[in-house]
Amino acid sequence: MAIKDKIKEIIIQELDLADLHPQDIQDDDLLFGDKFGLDSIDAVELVFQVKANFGVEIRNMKEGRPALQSVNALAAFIEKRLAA
Amino acid sequence: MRAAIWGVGAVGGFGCGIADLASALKQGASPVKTVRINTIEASFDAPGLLADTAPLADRVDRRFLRRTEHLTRIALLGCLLASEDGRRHNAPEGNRRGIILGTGYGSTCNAFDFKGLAAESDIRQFSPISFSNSVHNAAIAHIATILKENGPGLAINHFDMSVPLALMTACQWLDAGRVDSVLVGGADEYSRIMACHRRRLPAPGTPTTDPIIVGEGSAFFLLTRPTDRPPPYGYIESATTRVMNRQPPEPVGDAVYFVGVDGFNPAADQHARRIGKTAAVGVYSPLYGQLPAGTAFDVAVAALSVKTGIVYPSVRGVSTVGEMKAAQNLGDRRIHCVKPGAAGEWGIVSLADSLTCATNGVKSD
Repeated sequence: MAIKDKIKEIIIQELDLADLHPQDIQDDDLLFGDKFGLDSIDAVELVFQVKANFGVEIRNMKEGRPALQSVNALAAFIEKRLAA
Repeated sequence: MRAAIWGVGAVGGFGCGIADLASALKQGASPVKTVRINTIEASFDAPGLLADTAPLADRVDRRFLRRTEHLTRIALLGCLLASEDGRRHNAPEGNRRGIILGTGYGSTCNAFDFKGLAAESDIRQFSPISFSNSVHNAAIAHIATILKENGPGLAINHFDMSVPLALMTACQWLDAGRVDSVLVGGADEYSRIMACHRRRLPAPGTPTTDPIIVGEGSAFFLLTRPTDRPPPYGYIESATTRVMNRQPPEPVGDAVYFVGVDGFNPAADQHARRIGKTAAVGVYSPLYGQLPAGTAFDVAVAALSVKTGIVYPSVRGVSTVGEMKAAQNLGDRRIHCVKPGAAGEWGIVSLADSLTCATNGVKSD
């Protein structure tokens, strides 16, 4: 499964947004804007899920803030880390 | 220490709501489902009496349920059903409402689901949402938030004694004027550990086999102080736990006894057989299954019996020495819901209708 698709699956399943479908999440949608209603607890859960599913650690706010902006940003962050 | 019962809400293997519970009592059975259990040794299918929380979707905005786990949803649905039932019966209005949850397992099932719970795992590998739901009072906190109740909230963990203690506390809150009403009850979710344990028991048909299977669910009650109006489900006269050095309470007077025989503690089975020789005994655990908070369901059955004036036949199906094989009229008898604890104590919850209270002069604890 492509990284972006996996990220969307994680967002829907692990953050329990069951009324959403993957196609409802655009790659450049703001994850923590009004559209999805996510908050800081979801951000912490997402950091955990990225580590658990991709083996990539988001170590601090400085890394996390830009990485968690959108599916595009998170996928780019993960790909960069995996390639390093 | 008497509390009026205005609403009953129950969800479990028998279905959702007091009508489904009454229907299961008449049929004498609940539908058994299958749970896949994965252990280090093997995977196997275990029977379970499971609670379906799908009806929450009609009652609560999905966004509010997002971070709630199964135990919270089971308890929340029981609370909502009891509250709705109370409204149907024009329960007295009050500004201050407390919520009390008695649960034997608490959130342990969720805690066991932590990824990497093995000793070598790293604490940083725990899901923060799973962790937050493993906190003792998480279910009550979620329920109070969703119901917008700002009265006192309490979770009581004392295994089989959790429900009698929860009801006792509710009565004390009402007595003390701390609240105007209380949503109080018991809830437990399906324990895969108990399912594994039961799998190791002897095969069906052997003398020691108890057919009662692991269950889950919740039963809640809307209680108030007694008013001028008679409540539909009568009164909780007393709720208590007594340390009796493993000696069961003796039957007193002409009463009905609902014994929590659930295959976990043999004292319950022995007690049911013994007092069944001289007293009316009902066992209803096959409808809701084996779970520490099972007393809540016996209290729900007792409340139904008070409302309808009918004591339902025992549905245990084995070792029916003295158990009621047919429905009886309750008459002016009290109902005592009795269950033993693991440490030699007994939980006792006594119900009666208002007429019985007046004529018998029942004293409270």
